Amino acid sequence: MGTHDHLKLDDATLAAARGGDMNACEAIYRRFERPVYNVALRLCTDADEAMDVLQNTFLKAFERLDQFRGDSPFWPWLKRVAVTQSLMKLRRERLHRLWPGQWLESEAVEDGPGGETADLEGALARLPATTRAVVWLYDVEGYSHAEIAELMGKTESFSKSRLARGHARLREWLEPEEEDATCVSMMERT
Amino acid sequence: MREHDGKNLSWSDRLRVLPEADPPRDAWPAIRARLEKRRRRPVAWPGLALAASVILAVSLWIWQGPESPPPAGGTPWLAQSQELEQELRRLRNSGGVMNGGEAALVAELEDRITVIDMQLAGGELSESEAEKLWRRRVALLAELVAVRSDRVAVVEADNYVL
Repeated sequence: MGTHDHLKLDDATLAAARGGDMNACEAIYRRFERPVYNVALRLCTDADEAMDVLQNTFLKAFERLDQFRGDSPFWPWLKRVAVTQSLMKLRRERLHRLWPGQWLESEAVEDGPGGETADLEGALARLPATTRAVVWLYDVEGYSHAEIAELMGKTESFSKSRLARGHARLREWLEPEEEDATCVSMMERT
Repeated sequence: MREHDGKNLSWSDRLRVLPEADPPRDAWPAIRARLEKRRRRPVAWPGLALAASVILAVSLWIWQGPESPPPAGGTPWLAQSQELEQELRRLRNSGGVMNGGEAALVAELEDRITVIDMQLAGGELSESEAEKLWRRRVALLAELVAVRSDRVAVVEADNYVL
């Protein structure tokens, strides 16, 4: 189960928003703007990009409200829109870095933004974008590997390996003494 | 079961308690403005094929006559668009079946390209507006190529394993 899964949307507001009531749309925006922004911020790490994602998420959601089946909770549906928009933004940013003339995404692990990795916040931001996305979607938002694979157009193996890599890097940056101890212990055993 | 880091706290436990941030500004006014603008826009033509919209966009250029220069900045963007569309056609023939996430992404990208093509075909744009739209079109096509390429890579990898 992910964070904010407890957030609810009442049927009356949903129905009014579907009917084009701007006040109802605003009510939905106000209720969910913070969790949407934070999903985007964790995946994109940049506040301006997260604001773009926030805006696009709600525009897309309001455009497709008729596709939302009211028999399931609203937040997971909206979150999926936010995650898709964030992943598109990340993909676009990677393409811009490869431009001009290179249509294909590089499979090389990119270096995340530099910064302090002494704390978890910094370490998370430093992870390569795809790895960070998998870690956040799995560990915090509660997606399964199958769901992450579908969202990212990858395989479950990809999701599992990126998660393992992400955890290994976090451990390496945040607990280097334990990493060293583990290495020494392994060497002594061989 | 979520992985533990050896301190009896899983990564999930540690990540979930990271502080949240407030959006730096209120996005509602901009969202509202776009929703209202969208409602005033004529209904989009459903099912407008990418090829047809390219023809529309090319026609815009040709209408200016053989002696007129193409829209400022339009030529390189048009050429890149056409290259990307060729690549897309090749990838469509080699990729496997897309999963739901990919299909949604592709639909999203194609929707956006359709909207841009309609704006380009509208004919009431300044040179800088047209150039912006062409740049955006090329960026979206590149993204479509990336999604399709990923699918082809997965299919090829699966075939290799088999």
